[in-house]
Amino acid sequence: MAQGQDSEINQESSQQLDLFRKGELANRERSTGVTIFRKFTDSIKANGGDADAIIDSITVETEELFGCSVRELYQATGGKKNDRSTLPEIVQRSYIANEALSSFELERMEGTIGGEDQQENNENIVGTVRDVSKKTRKWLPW
Amino acid sequence: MKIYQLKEHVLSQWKSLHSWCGQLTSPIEQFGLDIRKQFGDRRYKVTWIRALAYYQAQRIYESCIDSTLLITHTLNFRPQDRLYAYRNEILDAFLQYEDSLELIKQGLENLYVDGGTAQDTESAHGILKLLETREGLGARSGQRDKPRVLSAA
Repeated sequence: MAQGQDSEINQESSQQLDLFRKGELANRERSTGVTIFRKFTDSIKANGGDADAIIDSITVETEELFGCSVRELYQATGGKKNDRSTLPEIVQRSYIANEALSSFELERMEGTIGGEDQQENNENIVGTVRDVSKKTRKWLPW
Repeated sequence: MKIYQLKEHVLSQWKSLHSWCGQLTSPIEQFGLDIRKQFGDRRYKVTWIRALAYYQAQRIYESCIDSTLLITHTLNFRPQDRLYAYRNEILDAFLQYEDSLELIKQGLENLYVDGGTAQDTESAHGILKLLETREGLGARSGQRDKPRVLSAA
């Protein structure tokens, strides 16, 4: 009887494990700069932003975090142009932190960022990214 | 877009290119002068389309933090996008940058050789379709490191 109960418990546990592991693990991936940047752009799109909102969000976060443009950042740090993985580690880490925080904020605001038209919608999204970037900047060691 | 919509859009592009931390760095009066000097007669729609393509290409180029972004978003035009109707003009203006083809190639390699997600590769149809319509891109010559200043009409 006891053996039967153990067997039932084991079966139940294994079903729970299946639920948690097979169901969720299959959808998990290692978070990297690439995946966090994708979450960031996904959260812009989920709020109705288009490619212009993405362009402006990148420009704004770079201005606020590093006090320069994307082009100047590559020039000043000697990174291989347009290859984010060649930027200094501390720069990449700062982008990752800001893009993670921005995407959390944009996900939280999903469905509430409106605008009369695409232009206004984009501006509201970029304004959110700018606000988050200003806060992130305060944590950075420069 | 109607001409008044084009003008509004070009003005917002110009402002974004002449701003720093949300503040304009050039007087707004300069806008009209720039359009006339670089793109021609402001009464014609074609002038505003030239300006739109030129400024959009500049925005795409200058914000290109990673070449993959060109393939997944900024040059990846979808029919529902506001600038879809001007995708060819924007691509033409982008290709005036000396390293534009190298950037596109690098972006495609990042996505298809080094392994982008299925979501990324599936969503890149816009740029592939756009490039498909171009012939002899590899044989281009006379490109420069700054965008061409389009001659006045």
